[in-house]
Amino acid sequence: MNYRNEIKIEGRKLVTRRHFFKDCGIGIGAMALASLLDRDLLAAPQGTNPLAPKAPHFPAKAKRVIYLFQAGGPSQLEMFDYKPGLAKYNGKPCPPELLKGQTLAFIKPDAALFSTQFKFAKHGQSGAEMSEALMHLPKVADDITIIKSMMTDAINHAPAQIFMQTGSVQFGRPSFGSWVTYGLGSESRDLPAFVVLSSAGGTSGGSSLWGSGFLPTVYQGVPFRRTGDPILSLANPRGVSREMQRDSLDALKDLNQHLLDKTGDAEIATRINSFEMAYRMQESAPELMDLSKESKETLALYGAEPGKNTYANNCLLARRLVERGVRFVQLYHEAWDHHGQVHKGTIAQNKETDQANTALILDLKRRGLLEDTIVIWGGEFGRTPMVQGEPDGSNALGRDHHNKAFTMWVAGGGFKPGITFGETDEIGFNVARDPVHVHDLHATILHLLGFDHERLSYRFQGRDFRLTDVHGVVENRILA
Amino acid sequence: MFTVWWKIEFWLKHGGLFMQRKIKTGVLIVFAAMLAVFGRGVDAAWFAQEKVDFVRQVQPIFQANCGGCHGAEKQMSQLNVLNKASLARVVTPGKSKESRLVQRLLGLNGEARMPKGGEALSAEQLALIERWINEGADFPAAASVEAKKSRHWSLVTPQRPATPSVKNSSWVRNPIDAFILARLERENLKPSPQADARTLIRRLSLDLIGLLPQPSEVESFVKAFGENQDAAYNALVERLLASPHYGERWGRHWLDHARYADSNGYTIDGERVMWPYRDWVIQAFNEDKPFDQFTIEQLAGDLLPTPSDPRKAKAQLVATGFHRNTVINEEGGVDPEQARVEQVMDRVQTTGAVWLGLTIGCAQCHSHKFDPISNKEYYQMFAFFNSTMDVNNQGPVVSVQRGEMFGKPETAEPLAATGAPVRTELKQGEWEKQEIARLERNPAISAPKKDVEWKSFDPVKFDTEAAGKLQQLEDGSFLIASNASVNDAYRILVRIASPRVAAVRLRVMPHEALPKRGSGLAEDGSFALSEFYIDSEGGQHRFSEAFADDEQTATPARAAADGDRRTSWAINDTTKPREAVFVFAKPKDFASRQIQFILRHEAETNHGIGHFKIEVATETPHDARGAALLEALKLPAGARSLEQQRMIAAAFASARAVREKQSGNAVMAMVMHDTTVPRESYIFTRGDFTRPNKAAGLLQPDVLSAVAPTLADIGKPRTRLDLAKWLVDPANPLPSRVTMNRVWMRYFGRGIVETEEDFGTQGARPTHPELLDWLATEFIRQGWSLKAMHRLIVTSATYRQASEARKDLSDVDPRNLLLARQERFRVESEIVRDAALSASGLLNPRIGGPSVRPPQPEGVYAFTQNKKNWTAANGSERFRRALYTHFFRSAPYPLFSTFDTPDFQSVCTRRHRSNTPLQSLTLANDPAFLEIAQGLAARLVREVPGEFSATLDARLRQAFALCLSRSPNATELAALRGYVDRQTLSFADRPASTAALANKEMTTAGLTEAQAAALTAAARVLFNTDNFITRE
Repeated sequence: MNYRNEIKIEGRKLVTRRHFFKDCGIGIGAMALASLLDRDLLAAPQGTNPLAPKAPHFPAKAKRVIYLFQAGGPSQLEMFDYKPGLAKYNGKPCPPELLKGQTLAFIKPDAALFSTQFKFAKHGQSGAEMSEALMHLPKVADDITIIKSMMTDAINHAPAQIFMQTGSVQFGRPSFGSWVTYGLGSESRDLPAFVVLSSAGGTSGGSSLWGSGFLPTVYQGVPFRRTGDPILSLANPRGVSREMQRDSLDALKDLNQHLLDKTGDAEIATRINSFEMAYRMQESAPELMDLSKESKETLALYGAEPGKNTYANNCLLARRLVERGVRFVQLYHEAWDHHGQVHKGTIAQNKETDQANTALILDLKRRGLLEDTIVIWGGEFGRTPMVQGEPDGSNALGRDHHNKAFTMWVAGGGFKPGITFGETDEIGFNVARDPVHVHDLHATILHLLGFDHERLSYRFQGRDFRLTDVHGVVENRILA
Repeated sequence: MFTVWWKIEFWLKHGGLFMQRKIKTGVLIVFAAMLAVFGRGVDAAWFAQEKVDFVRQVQPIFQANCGGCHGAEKQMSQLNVLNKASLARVVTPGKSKESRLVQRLLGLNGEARMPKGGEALSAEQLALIERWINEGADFPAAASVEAKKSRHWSLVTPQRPATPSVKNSSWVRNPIDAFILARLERENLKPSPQADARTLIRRLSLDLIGLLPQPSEVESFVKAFGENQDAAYNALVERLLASPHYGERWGRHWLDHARYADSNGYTIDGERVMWPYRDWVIQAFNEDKPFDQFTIEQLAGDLLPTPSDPRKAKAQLVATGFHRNTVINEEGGVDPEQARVEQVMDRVQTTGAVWLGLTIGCAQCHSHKFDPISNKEYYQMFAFFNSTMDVNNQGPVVSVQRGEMFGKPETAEPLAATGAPVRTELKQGEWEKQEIARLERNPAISAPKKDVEWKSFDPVKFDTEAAGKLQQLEDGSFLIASNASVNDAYRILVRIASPRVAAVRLRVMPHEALPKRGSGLAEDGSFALSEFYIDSEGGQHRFSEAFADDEQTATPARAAADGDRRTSWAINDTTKPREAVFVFAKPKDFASRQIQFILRHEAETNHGIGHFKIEVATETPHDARGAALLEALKLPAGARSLEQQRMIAAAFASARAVREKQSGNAVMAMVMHDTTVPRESYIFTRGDFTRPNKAAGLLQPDVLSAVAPTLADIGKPRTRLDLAKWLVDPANPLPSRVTMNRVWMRYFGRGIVETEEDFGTQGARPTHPELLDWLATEFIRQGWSLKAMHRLIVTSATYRQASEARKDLSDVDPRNLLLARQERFRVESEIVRDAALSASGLLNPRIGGPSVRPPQPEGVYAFTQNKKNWTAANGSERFRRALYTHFFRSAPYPLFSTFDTPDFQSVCTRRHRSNTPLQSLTLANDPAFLEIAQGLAARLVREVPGEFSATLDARLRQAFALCLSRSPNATELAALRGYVDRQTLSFADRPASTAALANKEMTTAGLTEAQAAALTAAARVLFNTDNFITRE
């Protein structure tokens, strides 16, 4: 065995940073560091920077993702999945044959069926069915793709959220955004590649929802907070001005440079670079969060109010983030767990979100961003056709968690606009036609981003892991 | 046409040999002419005789020429040419030229000719093979030879290799160096010179104890090293190995394996008491517990004979906490069996990863694709862990005192500096004030004195967390029909008629099915209810007060409503029906009308309630006894009646007894026990716990057949103890190699097998296989002593090399796999903090104990559902080592995550090492880090007193000594000094700007605010250097 050769090949595969310096004709000692630092991050060859932009497996329709996660599990039956059949059986127990093998989180399996109180109508040229709870979304009915036949594996919040975000019900796998960032790298030189925003309650899944699992931590989502510094430890210590921080960085650079000369460890150059990017981030992140620069018309479109911590503001921020090259924007709005009063709850949450969702589509579209930005709307599961609480009671007309059939919508980035895909049975319990499992949705979105979901993998503990585990089929029928 | 040309080419290529042989027979010319004219048809005609007999004619050719690499012993490229099915992959019957076999034998398509490195097959042989193929490639099944399971290198028990001889033998300090140098010499490479003394002491300190050496230690080492290198170096190694901080440093690595955390994970992510296990780990490393024993105690300490020494007896139980570190889902509606099975699977995977370096988890759904682990064997391993008593968050516990794992249990009363106990007991006057306030807040005291209506309900679902069986009796009460765990919790999900709940009545009733016809499950018929609350609408609703018609002094009913699982409600007479009433501070409305009552029993072992009934009231009932007590307390002491005095004395005694339970240092540590009747284990189809494959039969616990030694049949089910002993059997080829490989990885940044988590066929091959085997065998020879192996490695010349990059290596060995130099790498997140603490002098070196909460930035919980209690510690507890920082899985301490600490949802044997802008922000601005920088600046002022400008150089030199264990050179000093001068001016320009960086100690010592702030700024810069967070 020619070990020497093997080592060489190994080394090349990795393209160490040292190679980079050599290849660029810059002697390590005499390297003009300043030019490296001023060089756009994008120019760094692949391998030197784990976040450098990378080409996917094949030409992609979409470049970035905005995921509007409606945590808690919005009721599809109140918004998208119109079931006259449910009205017919209202108050009657659910047919037992449907319940075989079904796990329910809280309610008794023989709970009565429960019809929605919302009226439904068809909208747009596509005739998409939506309820009156959605007052704004009909405006973009022809821009979005409604999937009424979503299915998931879990019925409790944390596992179901984790499943939706990582493709596994168990904690510890990389999140959707991490996979995408790992696959595509970053196009922003002064903001993180994967940003997380949250409104309403905290999520059930916690930080694992945007964690990188076993992928390197550079791929994990960076939460932008609603109060204080958007990023932890972003601000200089009180009293340290930007100029003084520049001075500090220069002093630091002198010391680091000295060490770089001595040891020849290119990791030091990366660290110098990291400090410079952090310095830029200190300026760009607050600028990003400042919505007051947006026009009155735009603010009104979203219903956003600078300074507030609202879902609408987060939607507008999402647009600002993708404009600045952020790859994956993950929004959470944990407010949809309507075990009681699903009618009232649906109205209340749409008041928070409907206008902003619609505005985001309109705004992306008019800026030409929608065509290569994927927007995803949906929860971790849907809700049962059966009532939780007494059907005749005044105070408990809710629905339990339901994983067998629920609705999500997607838009932009190569999805076929203006269609409604999939159907549920007469009462909305099971998928009757064209089921789309969470793994299939993941596979389809990765496909639009240019990936063969079976090949976007990472070896850990001896196995090639992927977002879709060992499942997932690209649903071509919803692609433009 | 192509066919013809191909044939001609073939014969031209191989004709030489053929001709030589055929000349004798005199048919050459005829043959050649026919060939040229007829091509393909000719050879068939020429050789047209009988059909080729595969077994007689062809198989021997394969056996002789190919069998070495593609036969029964070895199947390179998964090809066994002696096997029918395998050969079929490279043969296209009837089409010899399209058969890959023939193509490879000819060396077509730019690929190397087979047999690789051997003589080519003769033309006759080739012709025969071709004919056989063209005739249909008959291969009688009976002749098919199965592959012998060849053993992957890691599955062969290591034999101690001879130490190789080397040219430059003077470089060799111990056998490790011989292995390394022999390899380097083969490549004509020279090792690097020894690192300088300052680098060596900093490297050793970081590696062995994870703290920086103090400047005085550095200086005395440098001096001693100058006098006698080896003596000084060895003395330093011994000192560090004997340091109690060694156990913290190496214990932390182990805690990664154990997926240690202080919380349960998932949504609720409640706190758990796990630190006694951490104490055990630290102590085990410090006392150099042999690794075999270390293994056995963690996997099966509960199954060992009980030692007479009670400390050891306790310790071996606490050790089993290793596998209680699994995540627990406390969310409502969780299926306890699913949760239990997931935890057992995690234990199988973790055991495989930690001791075997195998990816056993792959065999959960199907037999391992690459390694010899069958689906069945996975579930036989599973069976070892399938009978443990814990179910989701219910499991056995033992009481452990702070300090107990170190052999120094701390009494309830902490010792003052003088050694005398500090009296912290409750004073009556103080208690009376608190008690009055408590009673006045109690809604049941002020509630009107009238009977409230208690309503029962319609239960929707009732079960226990450990999957015990509850049974509902006709009167609506519940009886525990079978007990599944010694600390089980019951869950009664009900639908209530009215959304409003003001109070809940828990009635406990004797039952003839219970021990001593009592109301509890304990042997004497008693029970101890540690907590009672309502789970509904995504939250826990705790009662504010409780009272009962019977309670023991130390166990009043309110102890079941205090949120403290160590305290509980227990009664005096368990043969009579009794009741406790739990009230909310304000009546609650549950819109969903679905509420779940939770009864927990963690305070005592096997003290569950046996028979009970629950009722609710929409109005708050009146607590007459509490009201009477309040009335009595409000009277001046002299005005109290005898009865009132007795009442107060009893209440005070009760309060003290409860407080003793709370303030005692004892905690309940989670441990392992097996159920008395083992659970049945089956293969789960596709890993799905709802689909046990009963057709495939009941499984008994067993080890992997591919890994030696095989376990003898002992006539009864094997236990975790058998598993543990198998792991540390010297014949087992893996644990010694896997463990040594990981130790090596900590010292050189990379294992000898780089994929330290995968020693299977898909893993990397060892760079130095003989060295790995030598280390593995030496480890066992040294009685599994880790300290002995550390000593060996760190005293080697290999370890002592300088780490500077070398031009001559960058081409030949860019990744430094051959170790012609040491490696330079960033320290782990914990050491980032610990190094800063040791440089600043703020470090609180206290070993062990409960986790602490150092300051952390605001907003850590902005994204989690349950806000965590994080009140930053005061005083020196702020400055404990990082491994004591309370670790919430759902929102870990930000510094750690930023520097690549995983969230410990599952086993971690190797961390990533990233280098990101978020790290830069943390180093520069994390308030906790800034506080430590301030501490460093203050230390400089303290240690180098004098006028600011005059002492600045000395102070900066001292800062370098503290942070980097060296002096700055002139350029560095000038750079830093210039910086301090400029910053001083900037701060002085804006007086309000110094607040965050200056501190009193410095200004008291005579510095101006601006000078103090600038000195802190300099400390901050030093902390931010690559040098500071790098081990060179």
